[in-house]
Amino acid sequence: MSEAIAFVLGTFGTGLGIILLLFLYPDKVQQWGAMIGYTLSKFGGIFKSLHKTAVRLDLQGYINDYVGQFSKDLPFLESKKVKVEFIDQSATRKSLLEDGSVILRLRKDDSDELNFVHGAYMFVSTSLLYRVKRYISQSQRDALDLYITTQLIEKEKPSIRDHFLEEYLHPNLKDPKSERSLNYKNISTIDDGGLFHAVLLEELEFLGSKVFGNNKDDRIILEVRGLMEFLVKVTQRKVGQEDTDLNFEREFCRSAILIVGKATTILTYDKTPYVNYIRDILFKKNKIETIYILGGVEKKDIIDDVCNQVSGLYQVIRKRNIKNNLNREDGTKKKVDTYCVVLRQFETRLYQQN
Amino acid sequence: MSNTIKAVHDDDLLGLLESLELLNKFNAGKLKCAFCDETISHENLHSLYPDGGTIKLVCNKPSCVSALMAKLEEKRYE
Repeated sequence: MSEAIAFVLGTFGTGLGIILLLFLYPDKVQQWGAMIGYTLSKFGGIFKSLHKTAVRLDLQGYINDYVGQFSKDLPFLESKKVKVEFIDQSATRKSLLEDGSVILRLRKDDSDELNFVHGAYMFVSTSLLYRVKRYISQSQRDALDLYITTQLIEKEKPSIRDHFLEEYLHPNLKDPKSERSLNYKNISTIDDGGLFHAVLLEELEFLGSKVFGNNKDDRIILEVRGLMEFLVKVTQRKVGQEDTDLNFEREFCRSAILIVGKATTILTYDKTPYVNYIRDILFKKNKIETIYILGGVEKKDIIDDVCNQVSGLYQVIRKRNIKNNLNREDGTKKKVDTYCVVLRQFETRLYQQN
Repeated sequence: MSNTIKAVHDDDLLGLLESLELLNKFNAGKLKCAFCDETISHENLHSLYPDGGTIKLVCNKPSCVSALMAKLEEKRYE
């Protein structure tokens, strides 16, 4: 990043360079602006009012930086950039009632960086994963919001991580037997296994798109709980363990995980067993709508070829490299680079209530 | 769905409360959190939100912030 900035400034001169940087790295420029604003505001006098601008740039710069990375991995998510808008101090009761928005208080004296904690949590809760969260339970939604806010803070503001955990996350999860805590633990386990973005959020988004416009339904909430429990079992599966059910066949979600792993299968039979399994079992017999094919990155060509051979039945909607933990027989874990392709049937069912 | 966070900075907070005719009650410690009934002060004020024709205030306890988010979700889908 610093080399890129030096290149831009060196090549185009300071004035034009800064304008270019604004276009190329708007979030970073806002972060720098916040830093300068905070520093100058400490001098008081004419600089005092810069604190307000600095808080705005700080929130926008760091949250949008995270959102940019988040939406690269999950382009279907609603992830427009956050904008902080200050309410005028002369705003009337009538105008606030008509507007209907929550007004977040941003502090001038903020040694614990509560402004960022509250702003990030509010943004994640009210804007991210909108369609996904429409149909899940409150405790499932809380767990997702807390988990993603934790990730955001760990990534963007690691210096306030401990404060966030002590003052915000742990009080929210103080009852380990609560639904919220159990959901949070499940999400954490799924993420540790590399399947949070790659499978859980993909599946929740697809579920949301299938039922969007309908009323909330307890059957969906139960199914999402089942999906999380299913993915926990998959991520806790030991290498080579074959008795774990890798299909999740329910009323709304019909998905399967296919692991391309056995070297002996590939050596002996090439890709044929995988292609036949997708055609005959997953597609024809089980009517699976979404298949998540996982395999070591060295098997990328094999997996891509399998996808090509079933391209009349399923379309590739996502390819990504993920890092996940494999559970060895001896109880230890090994972090591996995994290639993941998401296949989806061309025609999928929509659920509409009468 | 909105990606805008509406906010009030401390520089404008007292002015806003005055405009909303809440400043005297705020200074007198007579404003309570909409969720836990704790007295709202300069130390614990998290946010303001309109509900049922009035402006309500929320303290910064994690449970109250979560309750506010749940309330927003409810209102969104009403």
